[in-house]
Amino acid sequence: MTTIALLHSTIRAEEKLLLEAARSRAVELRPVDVRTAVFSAGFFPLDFDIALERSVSTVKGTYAVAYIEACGRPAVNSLEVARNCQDKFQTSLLLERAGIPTPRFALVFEPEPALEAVEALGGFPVVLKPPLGSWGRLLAKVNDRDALEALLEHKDVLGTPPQKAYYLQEYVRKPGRDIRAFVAGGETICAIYRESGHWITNTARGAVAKNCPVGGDLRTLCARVSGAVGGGLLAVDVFETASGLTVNEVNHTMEFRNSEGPTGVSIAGAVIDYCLGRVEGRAR
Amino acid sequence: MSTEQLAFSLHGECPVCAASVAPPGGVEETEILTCPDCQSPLVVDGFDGPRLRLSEAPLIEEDWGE
Repeated sequence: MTTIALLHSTIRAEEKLLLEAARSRAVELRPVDVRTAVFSAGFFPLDFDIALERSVSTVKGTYAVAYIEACGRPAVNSLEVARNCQDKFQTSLLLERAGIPTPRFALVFEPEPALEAVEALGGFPVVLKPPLGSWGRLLAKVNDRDALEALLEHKDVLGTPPQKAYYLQEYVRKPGRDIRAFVAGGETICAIYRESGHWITNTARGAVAKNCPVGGDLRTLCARVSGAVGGGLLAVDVFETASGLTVNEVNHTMEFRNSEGPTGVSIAGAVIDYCLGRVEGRAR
Repeated sequence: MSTEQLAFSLHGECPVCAASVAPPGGVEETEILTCPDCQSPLVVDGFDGPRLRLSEAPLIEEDWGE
């Protein structure tokens, strides 16, 4: 029987779906709480075939994967994919280098260069994001210079060092929704529209998930994104614009509790199947 | 530890308001629950037979997400 180590912190609805999917496939999915593990030789048992990283804490999950890969065991997602996706600036650089459509972006550390960057991005409004962050937290749509200066002053005084790296992104007008595509080994398995009257369309912020038929354009785009960040299991966030699809962000430990119902696809099952494929050398 | 087989009798006490917490389905260690009375987020620390050991759930941290 194949054994998958489920690297977790708090167990969410997704992890329960994964446990259920593993049981139905006669796969042992063994929970490993990364918060209480000791990542050192002789402490951490390597009695599994592959590790599936599902820690809600990005820092803890990434260290766990670093250790496991250093010990010669495979992990999903890999350290390369985790590092490429967890930092929005790094993701943007890779997308840009691969020629994949993505909103214009800049990274600055001071208010004056921020104003220069806004000009380069086409002017206000712009979106200010923490490079490391999720669930739509601490995003700001900045409409004018006064608001930008106030935000940056607050971050400078109150923020932690990572919050003082200012990632700025061109504001893209959306048709009241964006697309989240679920990708396994470069193959798009399903997608949802995330509909919201708010400019932030995360389901964690109240957006409603509806099925999005996967067309050829989306499929091709997601395959290119997968190639750019290193493959694995991804949730690719895509904007629909007048000039076509453009990639906003890429997530490497995706949540999917609200997406299985609308799409009719067992994403948890696809995750387990992908891990089995990796063990058997079939999946990328 | 999967507790589906014990789900019918699982119960614990909210550490904030002392209300009885009895989740309707199976729960897993480290899972987050909500107290039905005071709505506090609680975490399952473990099991003493059918009794849930509950404490206040950790607050969202800067690096949490997907």
